Amino acid sequence: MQLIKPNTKIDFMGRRQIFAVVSVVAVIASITLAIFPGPKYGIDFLGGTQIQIPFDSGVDIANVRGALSKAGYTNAEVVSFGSGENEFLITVQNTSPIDADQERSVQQAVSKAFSKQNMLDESFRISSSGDRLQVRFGDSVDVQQLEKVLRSEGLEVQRHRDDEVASSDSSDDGEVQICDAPVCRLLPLSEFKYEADLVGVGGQVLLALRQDLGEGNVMEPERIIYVGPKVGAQLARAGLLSLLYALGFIMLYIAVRFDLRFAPGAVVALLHDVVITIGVFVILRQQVSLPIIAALLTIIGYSLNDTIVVFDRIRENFQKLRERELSLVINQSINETLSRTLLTSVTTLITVTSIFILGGGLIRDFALALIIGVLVGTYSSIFVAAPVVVFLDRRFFHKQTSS
Amino acid sequence: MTPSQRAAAPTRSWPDMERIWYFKLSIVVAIILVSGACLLGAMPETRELPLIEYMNTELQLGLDLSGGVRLVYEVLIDDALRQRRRQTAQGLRGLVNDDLHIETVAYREVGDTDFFLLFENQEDAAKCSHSFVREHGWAEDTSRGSSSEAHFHVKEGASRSVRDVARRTKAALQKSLSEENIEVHLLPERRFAVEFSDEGLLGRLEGDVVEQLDNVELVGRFYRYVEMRLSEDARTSIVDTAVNQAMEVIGNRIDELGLVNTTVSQSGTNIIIEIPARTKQAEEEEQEADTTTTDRVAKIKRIIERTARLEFRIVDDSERGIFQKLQSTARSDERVEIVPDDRTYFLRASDTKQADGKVLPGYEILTAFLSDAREKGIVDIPDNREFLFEEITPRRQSDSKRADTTVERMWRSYYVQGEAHVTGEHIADASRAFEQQGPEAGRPYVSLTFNDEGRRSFGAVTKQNVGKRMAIILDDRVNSAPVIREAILGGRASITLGGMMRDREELLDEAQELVVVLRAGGLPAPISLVNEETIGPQLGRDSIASGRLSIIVGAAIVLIFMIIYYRVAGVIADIALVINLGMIFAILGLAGATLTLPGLAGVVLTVGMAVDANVIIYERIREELRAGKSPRAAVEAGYGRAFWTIFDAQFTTLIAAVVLLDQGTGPIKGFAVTLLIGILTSMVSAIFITRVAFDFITMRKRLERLSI
Repeated sequence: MQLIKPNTKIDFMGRRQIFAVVSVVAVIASITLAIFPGPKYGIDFLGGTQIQIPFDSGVDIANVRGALSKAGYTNAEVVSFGSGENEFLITVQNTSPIDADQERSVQQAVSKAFSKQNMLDESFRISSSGDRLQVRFGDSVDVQQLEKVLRSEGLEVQRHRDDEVASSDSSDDGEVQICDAPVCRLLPLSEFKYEADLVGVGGQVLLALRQDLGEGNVMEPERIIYVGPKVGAQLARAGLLSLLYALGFIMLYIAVRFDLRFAPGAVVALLHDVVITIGVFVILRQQVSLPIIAALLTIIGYSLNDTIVVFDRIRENFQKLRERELSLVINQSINETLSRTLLTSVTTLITVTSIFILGGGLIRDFALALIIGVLVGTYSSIFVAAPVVVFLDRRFFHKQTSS
Repeated sequence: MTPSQRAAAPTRSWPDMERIWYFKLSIVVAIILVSGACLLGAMPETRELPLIEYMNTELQLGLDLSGGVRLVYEVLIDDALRQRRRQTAQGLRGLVNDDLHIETVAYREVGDTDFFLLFENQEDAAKCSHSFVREHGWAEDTSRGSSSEAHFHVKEGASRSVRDVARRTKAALQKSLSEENIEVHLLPERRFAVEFSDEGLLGRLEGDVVEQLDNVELVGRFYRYVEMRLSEDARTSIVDTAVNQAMEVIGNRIDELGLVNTTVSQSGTNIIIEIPARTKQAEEEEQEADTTTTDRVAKIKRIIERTARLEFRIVDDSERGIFQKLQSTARSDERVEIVPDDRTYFLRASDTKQADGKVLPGYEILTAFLSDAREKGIVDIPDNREFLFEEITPRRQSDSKRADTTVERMWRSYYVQGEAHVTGEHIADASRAFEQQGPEAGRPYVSLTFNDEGRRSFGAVTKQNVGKRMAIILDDRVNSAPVIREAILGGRASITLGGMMRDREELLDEAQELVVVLRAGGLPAPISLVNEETIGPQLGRDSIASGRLSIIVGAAIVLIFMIIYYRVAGVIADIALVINLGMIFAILGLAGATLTLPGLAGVVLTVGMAVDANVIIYERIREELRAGKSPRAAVEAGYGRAFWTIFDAQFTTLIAAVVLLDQGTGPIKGFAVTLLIGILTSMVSAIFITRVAFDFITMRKRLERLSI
C-alpha cells in the first residue's frame, strides 16, 4: 500500500511565498493572541485552588455556581469533569481567602486590641495560603481574646473536630499545646509568639458548598490542589527556561552535525510550532498549565525529528546530485521524504488521539497540545524549515555556494 | 564500496553470515526473556512466581495514579535565623561580660540577622575589638556607629499603647532637647529605644528632661554600639542545616506514622512530601472507622507541623531569695500564691474567669506576674535560669459532686536551669506503656529509651544531681519533675500525660501522637505549607484504567496500520514494537522509576514514534527496490543509510527529554523518564531487532521480492 505515489514532483519551493505568507500570518496572529487576550494560565502558574468533587444526583452545575458566588467566589470556574455524572472541577484563583487589605485591617485590629502588649509589627504574618496566622507580642496575650478579635475581623479560626468534642464537655479549650487549640502559643515563654489555624480557600469552598447544598449532597473531594503564589512564579520561570535550554542545545547539535546554515531554519520552524500551538490554545480557551509546557517541549523534539529527516536527505542529495541550485535539491529531498513524513505523522496522531479520547480528563489538555503540535510540526518541516534555509542561503551565503 | 557491489560479491561465506545471525538472534531472545521476567515481576498477579520473586521490578505508581497527598512545605528560614541570631547575641554578650569584664551590655535586634551590642561608655565599646568579635562565634562586625541610645520601659499603668507612648516620648524629647534627629525603636517586653545620632545628647538625658516624660522610666543609657550581622557562611549553614534537619525529621515522623512508600524530597528551601493513598482494603476499613480522607490528611499535617521539643533540665531548688522578694508582690495579687513544698517554694495560679467571661490560663497569670516583677526590679532572673510551668490540676474523682461543674486547672512554677543536658535528639526510642499499679493503674504514659550519647549524658547529669529534681519539658511546658534518687544509668525515662480530666481514649491518642513526634525528633524551624494536592484513590484507579485503554487502543490501531501498509515487513515492525513496549516497562521497573499519568502518555507517544524509525527504513528500502536493487541489497542499503537519519532525529528528541528531566517536577519528570527510555529502546527494537528478522528472510538464496 502506498499513501503517496513514488516520484512525486510537487513544487514546494516554487510556492514557498504562499506558505511563507500563511505561516507569517499565523505566527503574527498567534503572538498577538498570546499578548491579547493572552493564554489562560492554569493554577500551576497563577496559584490558586482546584477541587474536583462529586455531588449527589440532585445537584447540577448551576447549583454549584450559585453556592460559590453566594460565598463570594464570583470568579470561580466550574466545569463538568471526571467520570461521575455530577462531578465538577472547581477552580478558584484565590490563593488566600484574605487579601492584602483585610490582612492590614486584621493587623491593625490586633495591634489596637492588644495595644498594651506591644505587638511587634514586622512579626505579623498570615501564610500565603491564608490558613495560618503568626504574631509576636512584647508581652503575653489572652489567646481567647486573640481568637475573638480574629473572628470579629471575619477570619475563620479553625477548630479541629476532636477539639469540638473536647471543648463541649469542659472549658479547657485554652489549653496551649501546639496546634491542639485554634490559637496557640509557641516557642520559649519569653517570646510571646502566637499562632492561629485559619481556614484556607479549599476549606472555605467546601464549607460554602456544604452549607448551601446540604452536608449530605456534597461528597468527599476526589482531588484538591493548592498552589501558592510564589510557587507559581517559580514554575513559570522554570518552564520558560527549559524551553530556551532545549532550543539552545538543539541549535548547537544541528550546527555541529549538519551545517551552520541549517540551524536557524530548524529553530525558526520550532518557534513557529510552539507559537502557533499557544495561539490555538488561546483560541480554544484552553488552559496553559505545567503539562502543556512539557507538551511544547515534546512538540519541539517531534517537529525537529521530521525536520532532521528532511535535512538529512538534503545533505545526502547535495553530494549525490551535484546540483548547485539549493532550492531544487531541497524540493527533490522534500518530495523523496514526503511519504515518510506523512506516515509518521499519521501513526503519531493515531496514538495521541487515542490519549485524547480515552486517556481521561486529567491528560486531555496535554494530548490536545500534542495533536496541534504534530499537525503544525509536520507542516513546518515541509513548508517552513527548508524554505528558511534557502532564504538565508540566498541572503547571506549565496556567494559561497555559487563559487 | 557501495551496497550494490557488496551484494554482487559477498565478502562473507554463508556459514559465517549464519553464525553472526544466530549470535544476533540470541541477543534478541535474551532481551525478550529479561523483559518478560521483569514484566512478570512488575505485575501483582505474577510477582510471587518462583525465581520472579527475587526480582525487584515492581512499578512505583505516581500520586496521580495511586491517589494520595502531595504536600510542599517551606522551611521558615527567617525564624531559624532569628533563633540563631538570639543565641549568637546572647553568647557574645556573655563573652563580653566574662572575658572583657564589661558589666552592663545590652543588645538590640535589628531585622532578621543583625543586632547591636550596646555599651555603657566609649571605653568599653573600644575594648570589644574587631578581632574579639570575629574570634568568638558567628557574628561579623559590620560597622561601628557613633550613635547612642536610651532604653525606656513603659510603666504598667499606662493607658496608652507602647507605640503611642514611644511616639509621644520622641516628640517630647525633640522639643526639650531641640533636636530633630531622634528615632525610636520598639523592643520586646514593653520597652523601647530612643536613638540619638549625636552622643552628646545622651548626657543631657537627666533631671527634668526625663521626669517630664509621662508613663516611662529610663532603664539604660548606652553610649556606643557595635553592629553585628550573622556572617554569610553562618547564614548559609543555618539555612542548609535547618532544611536538612526538617527533612529528616519529617521523614522520621512519616515513618513513625507507618505511611508506606512515602517520599520526602527537597527543592531549595521547600520540602516535598508525597504520600500515596492506602490500598483498597485499607480504605474499606477506613470507611468503617468513619474517617474521611480530609480528616486523615488533616491529622497527618498536624503531626508533620508539630514542633515537639523535648528537654531535660535540672530544677534549681537552692534559690529561695527570689520567693522571699516576691512575697510582698504576690500578696497584692490575689491570683498568685507562693506555696512551700518540702524543698523550697513555688508559685501557683489557677485559670481565672475574667470579668468578660473569658478564662485566663494560670500560666499566663504567672508569666505576667513574673515579667512584671522583673520589670520593676523586684527580682533579677539571670540569663541561665528560667521559670517554667506545669499543670497540677487534681484528678477529678468520678464520684465527686463537682463532676458536672468546671474544675479549674492549676499551674505551678519551676525555677529551672537554662541549659538542657539531654534533649529530644538523644532519644533512641519511645513507646506507649501503662501504669501497672497504684491509683493510676491502666493510665497510659510514654516510655523513653536514650541513645548512647543520651544515656551517657543522662547518666552523668543524674549522677551529679542526685537529690535534685529534673524537669521533663515538652514544648516549653514542664511535664513532670521527678526527684533524682540515684544516678540513672540504664538510659530510660518516662513521661506522664498532662490534662487530668481527659478520658482514656484521648490519653491513648495523645500518648500515640507523642510517641510519634518523640521518636522522630523536633523540627529545627517552623514550616509553612505552600502547596497541597490531594488525589482520591478512585481517581487514580480510573486514570490507570483509562491510561491502559488508551495505550492498548492506540497501539492496536498502529499495529494494524503497519500490517496493512507494509505487509510482512509490517508484521516484523509490529513484533519489534511489542518487544519495545515490554522493554520500556521492564526498564522502568528495573530503574525503580515512578510511573505517572503523563508517563503513560509518554509510553503511548513512544509507540507512535517507535514505528517512525521503521517507516524511515522501510521507505528507504522501497526506494532502493524501485532503483532496481535486489531485495538483499535494498535491505542492506536501507538499514545502512537510515541509521544516521534515525540517530540524528531521535537524538534531538532526546535533548528535549533530558531538559524536561532536569527542569521538570513530579508528573512531568515521569513523562520525561518514559520518553527517554522509549527513545533508547525504540532505537534497539526498530534498528536491531527488525534487522535480525530481515536477515532471516534475505538469507534464503532465491528471494525474488520482499513483502514491504
